[in-house]
Amino acid sequence: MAVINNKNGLRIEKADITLGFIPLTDCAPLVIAHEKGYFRNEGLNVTLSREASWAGIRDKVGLGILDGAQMLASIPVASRLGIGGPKIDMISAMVLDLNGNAITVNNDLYEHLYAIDPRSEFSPLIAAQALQCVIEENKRSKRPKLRFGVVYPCSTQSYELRYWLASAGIDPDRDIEIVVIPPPKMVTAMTDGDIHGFCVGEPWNTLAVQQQLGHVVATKYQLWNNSPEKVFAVSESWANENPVTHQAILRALLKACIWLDKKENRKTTAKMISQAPYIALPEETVALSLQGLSLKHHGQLPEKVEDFHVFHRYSANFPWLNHAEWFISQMYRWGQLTTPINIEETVAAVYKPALFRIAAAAIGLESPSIDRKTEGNLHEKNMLMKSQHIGPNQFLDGQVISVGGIIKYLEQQSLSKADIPALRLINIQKEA
Amino acid sequence: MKVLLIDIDDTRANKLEPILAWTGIELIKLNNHNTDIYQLVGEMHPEIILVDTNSPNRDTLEHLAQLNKASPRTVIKLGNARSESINRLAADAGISIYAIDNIPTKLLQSLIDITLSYFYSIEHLRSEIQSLKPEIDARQVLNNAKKFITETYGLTEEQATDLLSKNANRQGRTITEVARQLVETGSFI
Repeated sequence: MAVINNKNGLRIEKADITLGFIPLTDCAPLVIAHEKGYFRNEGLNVTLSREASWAGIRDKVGLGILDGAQMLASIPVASRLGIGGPKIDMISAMVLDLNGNAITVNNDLYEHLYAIDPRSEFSPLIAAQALQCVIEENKRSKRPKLRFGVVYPCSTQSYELRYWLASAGIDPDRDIEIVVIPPPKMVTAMTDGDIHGFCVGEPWNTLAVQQQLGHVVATKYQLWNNSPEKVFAVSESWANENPVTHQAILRALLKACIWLDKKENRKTTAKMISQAPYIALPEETVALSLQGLSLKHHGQLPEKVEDFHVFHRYSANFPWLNHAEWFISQMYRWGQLTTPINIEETVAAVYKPALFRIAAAAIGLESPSIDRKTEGNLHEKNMLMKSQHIGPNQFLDGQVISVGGIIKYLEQQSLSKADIPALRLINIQKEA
Repeated sequence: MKVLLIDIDDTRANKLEPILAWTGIELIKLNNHNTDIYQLVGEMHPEIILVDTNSPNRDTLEHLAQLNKASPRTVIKLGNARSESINRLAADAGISIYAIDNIPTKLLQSLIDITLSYFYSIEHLRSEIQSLKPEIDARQVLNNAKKFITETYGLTEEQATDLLSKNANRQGRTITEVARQLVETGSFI
C-alpha cells in the first residue's frame, strides 16, 4: 500500500478506511464526501458499508471491524457509560447534522387526536394532550396500550418521543408500550398494524405519509430547534492510533457538510443518496425534507421548514459538550442511568471540541471558542436576522438550560426518575 | 441450555448444529423476519442468542436486554479482556453473540472457540490438503520411477536416484519431470 502524505506533510496512518452508515437521509455527509471525492482528496480510500442496525454499527466500531461510523449522537455517550449495551470507549469530534426526525402516528390514531382537538394538525403540544385523552379513554375501556416504535433504546428518537409524551403528562414507561424497530422496517411495522406511531429519521416519515399510512404530529425541530442528531464516531483507541487519518476524515466530512448546506445542492444530494447502495427509495421521497419541505399530512401541501435538515450552519458540526450533557440528563430522567456519575468528566471524555477545532482551522473555518452554550433561550421569532453561527434553540416546553445548569434543568423535568441529591453530591454546580 | 439462532442462514446453521448438539445444547432457529422477537424471547428464555451480525433485529435485542435484566445482552468482551475470538466470530463468520449475565466467561470462551475452530477446521484442512497434494504427487512419481529403474536395469536405489538426477541435469529439467516422463513413456528422453 502506498504511503500518502497529505497537505500538511503528515503521514496518514491508514489509507484504506471502512465507514458504516444506516440508510437514512442524514447519511448524506458520508455519501457526499465519498461521491464528491473529498475523501480521495485527503488521500483516503474509503469504503462505505451499509449497516442494518445501530447495535451492529456500535459493536463493529468497538471491535475495529469498522474504522468509524455515522452514529446517533447519544450512542457514544451511552456506550461510554455501558448503558443499553457493552461499555465501549467511543469518541466523537464532529456532529453530522441537526434535526431530521419526526413523530408519525397512524391514520386511526390521528383521527382520534383530530376529533379531540383539530389543532393537533399543526401543534405538537396539543396533539400530545389529545393523545393523553385517548390513553385515558383506552384505560377506562381496558383496551391494550398503544405501541410506539423507536430505533434504538438510547436513541435521540427515544428521548424525543419521550419528551413529547411527557409534555402532556404521558408516562412513556407506563402509559404506552415502546418497541425497538430499525428505521427501514418502521413503515412496514405500521402497515402491519404492529405499532400505532413511531419516531424515526427521514425519509421514513415522508414515506409513511406518502403511502397514506399516517400523519406527522411533531418534528424534531419543533421539539428542540436545531438539536444534534448524528455524529461521526470512532473508538478512542482507534483515534489514538490514527490521529492524522482521523483529522483527514473530519476535514473531508466538514467539506461535505458545507456543500450539503447549500440549498442549490440539495436536489443533487437527493438523487445521489436515494440510490440503491445508500437509501434505496424513490428520489421524490428523499428530496422533500432535504429541500426543506416537511410533509405532515397526505393531500396537503408540505410545510416550509428551511431548517428541517441542517448540515453545517448554526455551528452544527461543533460537538457541544452541553448536548452530551442533555443526553445524560434524559438517561437519568428515564431511569436508564441510575448510578451518579461526574457528568462534566464523562462528556469531556466523549465529545472532543479540541479535535474539531483542529480540523476546522485546517480548512479555514472558525470554531466557537466556548465548549458549552445556553439552550432554549433563542426563539426563531426573536432572531433579528439569520445568523450563520447561532440558530434558534427553543424547546417544546419552553425550558431553558443555562451553561452548567444541567442538574437544575433535570430537577424541573416531569416524571423524572433521577436521584437529584445523589447527583448534586458528585457534581459541583457552577451555575448561580 | 437453550441457544436461539436469529437470521443465521442454513449454510452456517448446518455447521453450528452438530457441534452444539454434541454439547447437549438445545438449538432453536429463527429465520422468519415477521416473528415478534419480544414475544419469542419472552416465552423461550434463551440463555444465549447467536444472531447474524448484520441482522436488523439486533436493536430489538438491545431493547430486550434493557427492559429485562435477565435477558441475554451483547458480549463483545470476555471478562475484562478484549477477545480476538469474538472479533473473528463477527468479522469472519458474521455472527454476534448475546448471553445472559450468569453464563461463566470460561464457558462462553470455549463455546466461541469451538464454534470458530469447527467452522474453520474443515475449510482450512481442505486448503492445506490442496497445497500438499502436488508434493505428495511428486514423491509418488519419483518412487515409481526409481522402482521402474531398479526393476528394469537391476540397479540399486541409490544408483537410480543418481541416474535420474544426471538426466535431469543434462536436460535442464527437474527430477520430477524426468521421473514423470520415465513412468509415463518408459524413456528418459
